[in-house]
Amino acid sequence: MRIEEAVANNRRKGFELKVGKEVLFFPYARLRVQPSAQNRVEEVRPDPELGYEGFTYSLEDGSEDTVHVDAVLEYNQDPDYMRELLLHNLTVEVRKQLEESELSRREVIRRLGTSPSQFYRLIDEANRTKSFGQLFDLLHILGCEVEVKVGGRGFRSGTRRTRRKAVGG
Amino acid sequence: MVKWDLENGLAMKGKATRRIKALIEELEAEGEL
Repeated sequence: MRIEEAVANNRRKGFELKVGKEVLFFPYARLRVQPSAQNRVEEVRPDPELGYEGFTYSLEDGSEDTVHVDAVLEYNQDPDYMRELLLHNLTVEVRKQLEESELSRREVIRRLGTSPSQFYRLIDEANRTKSFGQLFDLLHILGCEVEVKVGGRGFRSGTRRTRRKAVGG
Repeated sequence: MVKWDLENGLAMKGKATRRIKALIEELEAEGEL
């Protein structure tokens, strides 16, 4: 996700970043190198070295730092970003369960009723086009139960394995 | 570009080449990550 424009807003004590069609806020309080009344933001720009997926700012004293767009999306609880994170965490869990499972990969693929390429696509953490349903199917085959909890902000929503069932070979 | 999951040591986006993995290991050993 590209940052189109970055502006420092000293009154709001943060940066305003145009990401896609949205303008997202990122507070100075979240920065490693923080500006102050005596050391203000001198320049801020989307960074081409990061493929415009981040911005770099510099302060009056010459110090500078870079922030990746993911930090901005996480601060703003961007739904797409949060979904991606959850999908990644679930895939990591699937891989752990696969390592622990006594079932061979061939058997898992057979039970899943899919092709090997589809299976490897499912367990590829970098693949973002899979669905939660497919991962739940896979966890079920691996003998796991998945419990989904939904709560308000501050509640860590997610999926977790509650118990492992015995699975026949 | 590679997005790296430091906690699990896995790529979240893109593919990490051997060279990139070596760089990450180096940075971790130096305590930079």
